[in-house]
Amino acid sequence: MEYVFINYLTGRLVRVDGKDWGITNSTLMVEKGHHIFDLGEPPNYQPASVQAVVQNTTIISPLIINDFQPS
Amino acid sequence: MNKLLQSVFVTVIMSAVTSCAAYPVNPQLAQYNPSSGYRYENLKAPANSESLFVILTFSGGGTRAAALSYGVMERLRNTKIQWEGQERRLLDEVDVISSVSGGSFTAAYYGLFREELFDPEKYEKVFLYRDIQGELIASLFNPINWFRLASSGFGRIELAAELYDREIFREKTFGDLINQGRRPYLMVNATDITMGAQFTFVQDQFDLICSDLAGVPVSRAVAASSNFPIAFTSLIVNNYAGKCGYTEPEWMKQASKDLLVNPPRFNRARIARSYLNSDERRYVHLLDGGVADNIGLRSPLLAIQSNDFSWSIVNKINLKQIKKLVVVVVDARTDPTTDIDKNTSSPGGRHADRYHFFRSDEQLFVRHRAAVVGHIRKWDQGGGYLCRVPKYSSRPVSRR
Repeated sequence: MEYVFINYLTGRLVRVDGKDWGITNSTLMVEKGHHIFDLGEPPNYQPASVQAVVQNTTIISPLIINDFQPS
Repeated sequence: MNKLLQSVFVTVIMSAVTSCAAYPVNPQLAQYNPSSGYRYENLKAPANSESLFVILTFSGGGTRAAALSYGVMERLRNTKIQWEGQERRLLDEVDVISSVSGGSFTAAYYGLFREELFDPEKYEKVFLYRDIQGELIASLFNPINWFRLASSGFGRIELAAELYDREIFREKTFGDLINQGRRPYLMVNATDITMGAQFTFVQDQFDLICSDLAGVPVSRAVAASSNFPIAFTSLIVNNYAGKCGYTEPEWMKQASKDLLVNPPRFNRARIARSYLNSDERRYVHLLDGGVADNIGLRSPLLAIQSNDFSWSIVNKINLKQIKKLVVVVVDARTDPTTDIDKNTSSPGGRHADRYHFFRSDEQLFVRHRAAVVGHIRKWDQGGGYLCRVPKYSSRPVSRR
């Protein structure tokens, strides 16, 4: 199991590969591999999605994604 | 002249019987719609909390497995729990049943008929204490069936499917399960011969072949799931891929890049893609689910490990929908018999049930159990998970 932390200004839904996955600003579990992350609706953020290869993470050192910003 | 007429008459009748003998074709899906059909998310459960998520897996093992899983269901029915301030039957908290072979009879019967499972005049009578095997053998001696079986589209498994449909499952289809709209979500597992992979009778699987599971009798799923190699012929499912507007989900596109990063995920996408080529795979041939996984734990394990499934448990935990996960593995395996090792003669087909490659449960059980327990422990150590893993003890059921 791999871990990802998505930073965002507020707490909102995060999706992985098009499916509801968790909430921003918390450490979330994901299967090892290529994934595409987005924040779903409303699309008031940029970039529209972030592509990442998730591997070699732990719960205390997750992959941190800082890319999303309000538009 | 009379004899000639008689011969012509008999030939015409038998030709008609033979030409009519065909397997019931699974219907084509008019339009792919990921929000309809037999899917976990379309099943409601008013008395079943999502926060306590209970998965049952029923293994293969013929009537022994069906009886063992029936006994477990009785125990779950009689077990009262307190959850979120309410007393409930543990049985009513079951969210998913993943089954193989003999265990699929109990799973499907409960899915369709619920409390009738426990009525001594119902399941016990129509299946558990009935000589189904004897009836199937007797049907092979029916001359009409000889002609039906001569047709290439009507194998021995079809006689079994007909019997199950008529006598056990009362001609119910997956459409009836959809109309009930209630959990538990049934995952009846067979094996795709070509890919050696699990083939589950759920709409997510049938989307790949553009077929509407709602029109498929539940008995066919159970027949495929318990379709023991050699004893029966393969159960055929038509592949209409490319005719319903199916679009690959995002996970499949992402997983196709994972050859080096995560080979098992890459392989799942590869297997799923194999169905999309309906020119090469016009028909999918199915055998007993036990060939791929005789425990029925593979699908739940993937849902525990992966985000790629519509009912992904990882996602539900991330979303804080699940507080406690319970996985009950009902395994009717027995100690392997070693009598064929006492002499030099080849065991031949009559001992096919002893062949290890038809008994995937031994190695898989150990591997899957370790994987499930490992994942649960990791979550537990992460502090966000409430489940405590009890010390595991496994003692195989004695062979009757």
